[in-house]
Amino acid sequence: MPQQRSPLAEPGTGGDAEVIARSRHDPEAFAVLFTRHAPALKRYVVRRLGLEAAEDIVAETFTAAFRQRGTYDLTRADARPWLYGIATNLIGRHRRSEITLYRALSRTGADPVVEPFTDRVEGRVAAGEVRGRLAAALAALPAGHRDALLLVAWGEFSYEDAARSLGVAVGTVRSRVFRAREKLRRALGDADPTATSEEYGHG
Amino acid sequence: MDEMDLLTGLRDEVPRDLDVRAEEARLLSVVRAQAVPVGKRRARWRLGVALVGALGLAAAAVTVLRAGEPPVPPSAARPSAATVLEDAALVAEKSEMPDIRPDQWIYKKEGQPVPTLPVYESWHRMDGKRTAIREPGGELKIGKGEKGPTNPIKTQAELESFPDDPDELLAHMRTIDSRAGSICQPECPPGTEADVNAFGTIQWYLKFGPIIPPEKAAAMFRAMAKIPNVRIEENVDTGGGRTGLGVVLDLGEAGRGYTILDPVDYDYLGWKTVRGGEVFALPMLASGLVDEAGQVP
Repeated sequence: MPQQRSPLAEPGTGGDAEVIARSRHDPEAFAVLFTRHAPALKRYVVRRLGLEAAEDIVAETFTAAFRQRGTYDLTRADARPWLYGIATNLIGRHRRSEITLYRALSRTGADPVVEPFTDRVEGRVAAGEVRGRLAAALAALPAGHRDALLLVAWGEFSYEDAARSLGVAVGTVRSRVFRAREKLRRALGDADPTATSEEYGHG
Repeated sequence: MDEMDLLTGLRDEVPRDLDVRAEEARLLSVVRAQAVPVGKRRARWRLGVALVGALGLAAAAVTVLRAGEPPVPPSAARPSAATVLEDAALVAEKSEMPDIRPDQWIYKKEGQPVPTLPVYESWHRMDGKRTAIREPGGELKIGKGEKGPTNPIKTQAELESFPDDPDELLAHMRTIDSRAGSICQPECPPGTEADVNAFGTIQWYLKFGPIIPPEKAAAMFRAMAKIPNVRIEENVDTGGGRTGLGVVLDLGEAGRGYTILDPVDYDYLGWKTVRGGEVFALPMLASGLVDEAGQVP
């Protein structure tokens, strides 16, 4: 699994903790954290909830983080687990809407989430049966399992960072991801893996 | 291609360079509301002669006490947490705290966990309306206070609402949101999570030494002594050029958290965490209550 870390997350090289420490005295320094993490966070939120909801969630994540910066654990050089943890809580308030979007994709083959970014026709052609099955399986997962799975798959988090983000033990993340993957595999069912990859490869 | 690869490809069309200007504008409006300078003010050094005198005397008394301390023989048995923290509680109870005026400022000079960062001095006015900072060699910058959990008016109210009974205080500390550096989270040995929370939270409040009512400070020390796996380590390096008495929550390989106290007057000297060979220290280099931003105790 690829692991994405802040390029400057290592101690002594201007990592996130240093930015946050600085921002406690110099609030505008917090903008550095936004520049580093907002685009990737927004992409993650868009993939879960669509473009329209994402603006509010990203703005609220960073304003909440700014207000909580006084209590940030400065021994954590990389702020991504913290930021995505706040975002995950906010995403949780839109659970119905997230599930509706997966179900729409599963039912119609068209994905309202990617439509703003693709030609409408191209989007429909690209959406295949595999996507529909995956989306249906995501809709059916328990929320905590979906949070763990998507932090790892879309957020590119290590299990350790996902655990920090969700405030649970690494073992919990590992078992949630394991069980979620099992359900995804079952949902993909007896689809011919060759056919699957071919279909998906054109997406 | 397994289910994980398929999932990673799902909605991959969402571009990486999404426009975040609207979000940035919303964040900056919040940030700037707190960062607007109140105008350059010349620091007015109006500290009363009496106060200087009192502080000078207090410092002298501490020095004498230090000089008069018998050297601890190296073979001395390691003191127990209960004994040391009870002593700290008694010293706290005997101390006097002047009334705090809302127009006074709490001053803190806290070291950074990373040596490359400049050490700031900060002043927070007790009514929460203003904060000020100074970089080493820099000018004093005064801005609006912030409304977050670190607002001193909230901290003061929280401190005053603490129960005086150490058992009740500990029960309270086990449940409130932790504000301190982590020791082992989120992989603490099962059953120790509430202890870690309580230890770290008491430590966080101890930073506000100058505004802690004596009976609350005493209860905090006694509550710490009741946390399992708490022991005392002497001559602990604060990371800020001093050594102190370490009150250690020792969770073995999972991590160790240190609240470091002055061995003579039990003032708070800093926080340190040691985990997997990594040490992070946040020394408190100076703190106190002053009448104006820019003053130091």
